[in-house]
Amino acid sequence: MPTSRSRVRSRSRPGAVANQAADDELVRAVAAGDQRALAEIYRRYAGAVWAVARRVCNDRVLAEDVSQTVFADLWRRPGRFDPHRGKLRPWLVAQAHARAVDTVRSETARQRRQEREGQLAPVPEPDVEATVHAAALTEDVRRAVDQLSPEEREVIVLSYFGGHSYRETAQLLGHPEGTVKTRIRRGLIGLRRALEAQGVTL
Amino acid sequence: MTAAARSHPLDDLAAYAVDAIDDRHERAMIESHLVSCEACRQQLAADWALLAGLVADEDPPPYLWGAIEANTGPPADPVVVPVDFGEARARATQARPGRASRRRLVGVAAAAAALVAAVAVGPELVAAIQDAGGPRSGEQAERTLGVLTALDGTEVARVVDSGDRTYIALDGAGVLPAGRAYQLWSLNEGTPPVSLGLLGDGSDTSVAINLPEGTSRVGISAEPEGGSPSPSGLTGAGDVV
Repeated sequence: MPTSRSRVRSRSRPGAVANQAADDELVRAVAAGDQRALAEIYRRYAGAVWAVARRVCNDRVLAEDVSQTVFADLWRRPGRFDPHRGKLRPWLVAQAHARAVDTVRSETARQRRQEREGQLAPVPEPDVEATVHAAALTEDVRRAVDQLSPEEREVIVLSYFGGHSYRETAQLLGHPEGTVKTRIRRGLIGLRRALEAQGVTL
Repeated sequence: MTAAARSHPLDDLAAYAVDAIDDRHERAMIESHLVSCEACRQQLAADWALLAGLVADEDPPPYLWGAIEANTGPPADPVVVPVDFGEARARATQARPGRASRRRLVGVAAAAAALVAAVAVGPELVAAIQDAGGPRSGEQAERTLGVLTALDGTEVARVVDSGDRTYIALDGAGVLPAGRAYQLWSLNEGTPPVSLGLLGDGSDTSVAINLPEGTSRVGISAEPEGGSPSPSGLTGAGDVV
């Protein structure tokens, strides 16, 4: 599991209390309008949010927009995070992923329009290996991804890292849509098993 | 298909977890199931926990927090400075007064002169003009925290506290050629320059910045657009308060 923590130079430097506070307490403080709590959440998780936004968007400027939106949304609507439904880090990463995927889809749609209008060269077909490479996976995760069956591997890579919907993935691979969904589920189960076998705690 | 798969939309849920469902109606179906199914909520949380571990953390650009901070601060709140220069000078060195005391100041000033003039307290304070009718929307006091000058003494930029954010005004810096960007540095005595982020090419003259506590001097330099690890010659520098 990646352990590097982002180092953030922040003016709203959180005090000692914020440094010790549990994530849930910080979200409660954000709900009360405490910007230092948001700064502390940012210090803890901006590295994870930025990484997923960057890998999915494959573009720094788009990734900046996505990351900003994730933290601004938490500030505006902290109640959307429910501590009874999981931890803050995975939730923030999931928000970042969803926004990154939306961004990539509208960007792709825009490029396709330009392509049809002859303003752009054809958009290249997605490539599983290139996507895996661009995702800059850690060694543990790469090994786990490599242990999946080729069919599971390609659907996980195209959907999670490539931001393709299951329908697009089905079209790209020439498989039925239902099969793609089942393979996504099996792929997630396979990843979990492989990571657990490597002693990675999830 | 197992009994569990029949009663819980497990395949749909997995596709949902990786954001592979782009059809709004389909998403709504899954979300409405999630509302009533604790087991599927737990499954989704477990999938998100797994997925959050796939990509290694990476340092975001240093200026990203500044942008978020600027968008999440308390609502803009005008500061009114009384006409008395002596008092204004004293107040400028204090923390921002609370909302109630600001109201009081408006009242006092209005009663005294029916006009609160714009006052500049040394170079540090630039106050918004207020009339007796009270604060005008869109105007608020700005405090210049420092002026950055070039070697020949020309003013190239100012560091300004607008009340809810700190920004740099690149008034005299000029627009850089393509592929170049201004970079902000803290130049505290006794330590090597530390990058405080990129400021763009100067065409946008007002850029939100993030001054770490204890920053006493800053400078800007023109760098390749990705930034440099240390400044290659300063365009301007100045002390900040």
